[in-house]
Amino acid sequence: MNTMMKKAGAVTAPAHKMNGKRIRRFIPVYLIMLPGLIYLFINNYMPMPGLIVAFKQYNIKKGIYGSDWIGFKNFEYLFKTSDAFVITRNTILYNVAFIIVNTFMAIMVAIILSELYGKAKNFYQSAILLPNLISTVIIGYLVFAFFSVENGFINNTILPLFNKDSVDWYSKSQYWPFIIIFVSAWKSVGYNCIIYLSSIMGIDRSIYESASIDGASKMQQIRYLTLPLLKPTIIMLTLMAIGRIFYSDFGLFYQVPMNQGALYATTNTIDTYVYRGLIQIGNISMSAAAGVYQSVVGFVLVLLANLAVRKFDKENALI
Amino acid sequence: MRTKEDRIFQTIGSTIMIIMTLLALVPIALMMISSLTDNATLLKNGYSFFPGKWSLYAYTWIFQSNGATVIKAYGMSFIITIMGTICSLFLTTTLAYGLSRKGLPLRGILTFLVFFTMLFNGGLVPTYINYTTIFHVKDTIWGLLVPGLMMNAFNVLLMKSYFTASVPDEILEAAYIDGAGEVRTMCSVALPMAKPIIATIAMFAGLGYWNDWNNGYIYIVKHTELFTIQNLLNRLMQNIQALAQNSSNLSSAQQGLAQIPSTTVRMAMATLGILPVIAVYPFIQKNFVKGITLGGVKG
Amino acid sequence: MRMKRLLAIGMAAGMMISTAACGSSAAGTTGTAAGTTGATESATTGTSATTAASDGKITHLVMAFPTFTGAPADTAKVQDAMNEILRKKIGVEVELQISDLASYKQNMTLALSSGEQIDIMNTIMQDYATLIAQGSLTDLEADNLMQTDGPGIVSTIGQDYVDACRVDGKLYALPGMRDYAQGKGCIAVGTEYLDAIGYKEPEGSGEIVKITEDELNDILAKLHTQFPDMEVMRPATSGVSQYTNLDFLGGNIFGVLENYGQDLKVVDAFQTDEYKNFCKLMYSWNQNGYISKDATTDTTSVGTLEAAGTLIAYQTGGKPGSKAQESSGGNRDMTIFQTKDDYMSSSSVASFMWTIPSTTVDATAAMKLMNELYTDPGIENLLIYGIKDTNYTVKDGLAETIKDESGTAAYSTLGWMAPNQFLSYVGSGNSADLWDQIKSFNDNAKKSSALGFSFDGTGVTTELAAVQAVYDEYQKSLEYGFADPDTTIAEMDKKMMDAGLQKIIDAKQEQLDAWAAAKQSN
Repeated sequence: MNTMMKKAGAVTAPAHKMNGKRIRRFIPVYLIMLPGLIYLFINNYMPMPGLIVAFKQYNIKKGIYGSDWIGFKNFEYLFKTSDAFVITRNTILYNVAFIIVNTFMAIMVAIILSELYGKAKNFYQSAILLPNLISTVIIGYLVFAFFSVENGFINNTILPLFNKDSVDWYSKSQYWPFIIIFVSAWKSVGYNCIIYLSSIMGIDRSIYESASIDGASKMQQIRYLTLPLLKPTIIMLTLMAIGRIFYSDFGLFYQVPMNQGALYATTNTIDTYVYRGLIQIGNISMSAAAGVYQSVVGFVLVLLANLAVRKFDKENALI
Repeated sequence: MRTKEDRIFQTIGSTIMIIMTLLALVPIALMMISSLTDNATLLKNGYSFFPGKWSLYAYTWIFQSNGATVIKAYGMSFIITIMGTICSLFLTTTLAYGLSRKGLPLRGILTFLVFFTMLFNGGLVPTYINYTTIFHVKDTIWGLLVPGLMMNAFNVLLMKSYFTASVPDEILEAAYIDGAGEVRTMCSVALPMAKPIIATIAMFAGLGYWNDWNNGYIYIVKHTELFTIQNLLNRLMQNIQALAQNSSNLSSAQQGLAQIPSTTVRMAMATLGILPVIAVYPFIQKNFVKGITLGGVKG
Repeated sequence: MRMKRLLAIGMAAGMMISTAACGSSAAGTTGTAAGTTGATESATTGTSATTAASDGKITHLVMAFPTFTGAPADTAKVQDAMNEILRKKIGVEVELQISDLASYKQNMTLALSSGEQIDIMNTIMQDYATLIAQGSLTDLEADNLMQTDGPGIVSTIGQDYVDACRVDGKLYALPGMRDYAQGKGCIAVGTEYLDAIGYKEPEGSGEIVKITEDELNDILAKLHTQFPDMEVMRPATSGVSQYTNLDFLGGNIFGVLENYGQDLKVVDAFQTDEYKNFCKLMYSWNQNGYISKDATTDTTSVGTLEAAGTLIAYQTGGKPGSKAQESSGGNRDMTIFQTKDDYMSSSSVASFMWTIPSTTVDATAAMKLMNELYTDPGIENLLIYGIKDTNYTVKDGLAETIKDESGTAAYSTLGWMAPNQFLSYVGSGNSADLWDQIKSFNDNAKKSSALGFSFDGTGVTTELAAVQAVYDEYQKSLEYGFADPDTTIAEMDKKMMDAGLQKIIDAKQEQLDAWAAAKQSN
């Protein structure tokens, strides 16, 4: 579309000259952006210096800025444990799995929904959105309804159908990666597909028509038209997900496995480890240290990923 | 012009969607059924689609004991969601629009500053100190509306990328040359072209406000009339966990657990939490679809 | 493009530094301002204790504590009734800030960090040592605060119990009057199930039936045979502290004293015979089928399970009034068995204490209020039960809370948390001399030699977080009898040692020795 307009000879503004005239020309734009920028400052940047409490021995009387520096001591508990490898591995692997699975599912659903005839598709879309509204604690109970050892649906109804014995679901950690990935997709596909759906809706229908006239099949249309046009969205969302790669959905990893110690090998993430370790001690600096650790790693990874994207596809890099 | 391939696609696509819909609805149905189950039966036999004994106890308990509380909480949820979504749309759209203007000086820096907030966060205590000592939002409705939810970098960047991809700079420049001011350009040229993303962000913001219980948990202590329905439910859950965790210190933790509403009541509260959305969403969606389809051929 | 990037980062940094400047003045001074006001006030107004009521100025104080479900409906009414008395008596009006249990922890942490006014606070759900280390609590004896404005307190509580709350000789908190000791090794069993197997209580057993462990195993076996489809026993995470003679020094299981705390040697709990035997017992019960396979995931209260008729017995802590308490919770008559001794552990007194935080606006007024809370029966009854005949009725000298159709009370708080529940009415269902029973129960129980010792864990926070994580992983499988103790305990212990358990034990021993030496020289 852009290229079409360019060919029509429309005027484009001269680029990258920071002279007074340009700034004056854009003052109205700055004014438009002002409310958002003010909120950004108040909500995100004003509290941000508080991060330094991660490097201090927090004393309430002295406040955040008056407390004593203790360098990296608050970070030790994140590394000095035999679990450090497990929680890091779990967090990263799950996030990679989520990026792949959830993106694939969301795009597939968005494409299907955009192509379906009939009123039913509105119903489908509303239905798959519902799981997103349920808090993870309730989801934990529902999972329990299926996987409970004594009364669960699976042990009592489904496994007997195949003549298999009951399984102690809540003490066998090897099944849980699958359960968690499934629950994550179940919860978020309705939400995630909205983004892709609205992107698809914004594509001009006429290119599909001309492709169809040229003899392209539906699958070809999807492969060569829809997916490439979704590329900017996919790249942007993936980059953002990479920035959050050291974070995890606390509810998903704490509530859904019902906080069972026997499942820690595959359900313990950095966030749950920090929560469990600090819930008795209640040390503010140590939990802030965890936050700094997660943020810094995500930041570095995103910058690296962004650099990689720039090499291949300059237009679509995040920054 | 329905080709054979088209029909196969429709069949497979519909099948997939039906399976996914069932997967989504079956657990929710279970949740609703268990809220209507007799509590003792639930404890004996576990969760079931065909409970031995039905009972409205959970709902009568909710409306009797907390009664006004639950209804008030509903009202609060609605108010917050509507007010919050409007404010959020305003802030997000204006900032995203501005950031999408290609010629804007300092554009890259401002975008980076927005993105930076996705990765770095001051933390709970500094944010709390910020909002309560400087802005005094504690125990006020602003404590529910303002912190965190009113605008987030994700929505802004999403919208910005949409503006950049779908609203060509040339059209905006053409309007400027024609003498229209920035605000007029934005309102009459850019925004109508951006209906899909505006609808999307409105949905995200709305869901964010509806689902949020964190703000109420932290900022509302004395004015319990400001609790939203998700807040009520999650307080229950947190209390259960606190008691279960601390039973080694609290010898009377078991009394506490007994005082907290039973499993069926929790299921009932969760059901109540999603009912309004189930009721309202199709209506919203119909209007969105009307506004979204640009010369829609399909459907 | 490179320049732009560097510029962006530079601007972000600059922004952070400049906001740090204005941020620091706000957050820093609110913290210190509250602290200094409290100190100077107590110095200058210390002498005017007796004239406070007459000078007409009413100080507004905030008292924060939790109940299980949050602020009761009639809190405002009860508050007004309390203030009628308090305004005339000590020139103070109080605001009851009641939260639910889980949000209480969060709210207190945040409130103290941001300098919000809290004048009297309960330490429940918070770590006493951390509060002191972070400077959140006022020294109650600074400038003779307690001696001047809280004269009735020490005589009411008893000097020994007051001293049990000292840290490094300083007093930061006061214990509530309640049962400090606990009957160890107690099991509550539904009486009708005992009748069904033909069990009869021995003559003259009293409220709690004392039996041996073998007799208990025998009873459980019979119960299981008689009721094969019911859950016989539901374990709890408090199992080790309630069912063994280990003293949880410093409030956690990492470094304990053996044998009812009789000698002051700190050992690794997981290498003791007591712990091994406990796990073996649970394992045998589990293998015999007494324990439900869902025991680790289910959070339903044992009372609810008893009332629903799905559970026969469960572990509990014994004390005078247990029988009435468990019976009312389970909605059926319960028999309480005890297999070990009554014991007061080192950390039992220093729990759920009452403090004056450093964010108080007037420590003197707060101490006066504290004095009333420990000595005035009218205030106590208002605090615990509410307004007479509106929130509770008194029959035969026992108080019964008024509840509506759904079982919710318009006002009720937790008596065992209150400063002095012994001043209030005994709750219905108990015998009228319950308070005396509890007092003698406390006095006659075995007491730990480390009673009054508080552990400062700030030097080993890393290790504590790490061993806690290991314990969380294994606790339920071991202590609910799902894992074989012969192999699993050693596995867990090794992981804990790797995480630094020995360092914690050594730290505890060092502090304990110093405390004992200081005690000797006094």
